[in-house]
Amino acid sequence: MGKLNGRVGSGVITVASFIVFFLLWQFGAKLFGIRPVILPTPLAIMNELATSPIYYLLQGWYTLLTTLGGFFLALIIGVALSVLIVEVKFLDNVLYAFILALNTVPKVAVAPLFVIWLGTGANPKIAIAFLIAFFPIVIDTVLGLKSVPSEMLDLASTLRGGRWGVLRRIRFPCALPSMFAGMKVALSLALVGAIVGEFVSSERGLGYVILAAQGTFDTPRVFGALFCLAVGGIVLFWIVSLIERRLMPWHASQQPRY
Amino acid sequence: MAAMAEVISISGAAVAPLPAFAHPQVEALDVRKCYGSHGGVNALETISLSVAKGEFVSILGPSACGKTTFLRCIAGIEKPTEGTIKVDGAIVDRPPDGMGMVFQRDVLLDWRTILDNIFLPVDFRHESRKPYYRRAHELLKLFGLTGFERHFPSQLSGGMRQRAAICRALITDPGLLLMDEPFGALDAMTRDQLNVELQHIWQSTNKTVIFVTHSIPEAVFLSDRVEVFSPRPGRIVSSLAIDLPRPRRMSMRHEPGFNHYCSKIREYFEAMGLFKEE
Repeated sequence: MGKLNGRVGSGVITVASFIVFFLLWQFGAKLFGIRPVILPTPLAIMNELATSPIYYLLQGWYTLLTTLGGFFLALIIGVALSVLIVEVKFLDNVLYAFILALNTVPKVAVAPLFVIWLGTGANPKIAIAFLIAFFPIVIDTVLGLKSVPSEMLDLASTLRGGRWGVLRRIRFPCALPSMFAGMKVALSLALVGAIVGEFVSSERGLGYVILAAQGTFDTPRVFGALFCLAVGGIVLFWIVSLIERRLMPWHASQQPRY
Repeated sequence: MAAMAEVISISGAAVAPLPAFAHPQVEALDVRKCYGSHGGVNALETISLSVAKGEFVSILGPSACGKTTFLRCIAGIEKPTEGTIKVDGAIVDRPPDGMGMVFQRDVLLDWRTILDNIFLPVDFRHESRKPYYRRAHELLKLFGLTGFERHFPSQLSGGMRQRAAICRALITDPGLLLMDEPFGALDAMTRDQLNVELQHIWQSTNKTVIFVTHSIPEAVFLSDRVEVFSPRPGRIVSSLAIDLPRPRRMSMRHEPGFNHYCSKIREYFEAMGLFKEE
């Protein structure tokens, strides 16, 4: 096992487990004679993707832009609001309670409303992605900014660090691990939001592809779109993890043991 | 041991003798502290204390006696309910200039390297680090931390982390150093070692130190004067000048002179009902 313990080694194990999974699927589907309209084999899905790669890339690109639009909007507005909530006591009592209450409303159920408000273009999809990604970012950022050890604030106080100084030098770095946890959840949810937006009304994007293919019982195409979504989600998650590692080399979750 | 300046208070307020040769750097007058509104927890009961420039004074008392509260009032992190505290002649209503504080926990920032942690006070002042580099490296050398500048706190032992915290408190060369049980979380051997190092620093820099501890030998070893606090609500029970030659060595702890002071202080605590045998 010695060689498999490093980062490269664990990558090999991950890839191998995926290969085993697809092999089981491939031969299982054949062995039990499952019809392609119910569950196409991985090879059939690959074949579907290979016949029209540009189509999937374009639709995927559209969904990606919607997702990122919603995510970054949620990140900017969410972090700004979190700072206000933590710094202004009044807003903590009023705004944060309000946000927590809003969070209990199933965001997906609001999607049709956005079509009425914002039309059928990209805006309502970005809005849904934003709305759904916004809550984990606010909740985790507020939690992170608030969970600064009191001794650290005492120290900052003896050093006469002003509000902004404390926020920048102490609160934010302290909140980073929690913020990244929120961002990882938010990014996956933004993707969900984008797809839901495309379900409700769209003529583009992977959500639209799924809906249109379902109408013609083109199951391989549905799975082709799902495959693109899975890969996209993994890549996005991986990019956030990479940035996290870069920004927090000190953090326990990032450090090799000594 | 006859020349022992000692004032024992009977009714709460105690006034410590002020050495005639120096003017006070810290002056507390009738300081009281209650938590909560009227009738809340009474933490401190009329404390008056004067600390001269360059003096090493320990505040010694059982846990939760309010000694930390008192130190935090001097640091300007807490406001006394009654009475005034002056540092360098100015009333403390916020953390005073020229003061460094060391806490029980090292409170190093995990995301900063040791060197960056030491520069934190400089960064908070919006000053350039450049003029402080030499001092930083001198401090690191003094505390045996050379070579660990680029390490993160999580890579250092508890003793080294607390050494770095002391370096951080000293980087801007404050005249007053407040230490709140700084070695309380360390193992006995590291603690002894740091006591020796602290004495050395103090002797070579002529700083005023107010040192909160609950260890009798530590207080006697380090201090010019030990202020003995009662259990809550804290008040000064005795002010004991420690007249032992400097530099003091660890071996001194076995000498009768040293033990005389220790047992003297122990008697105060016994008289207050602490240290029950059964």
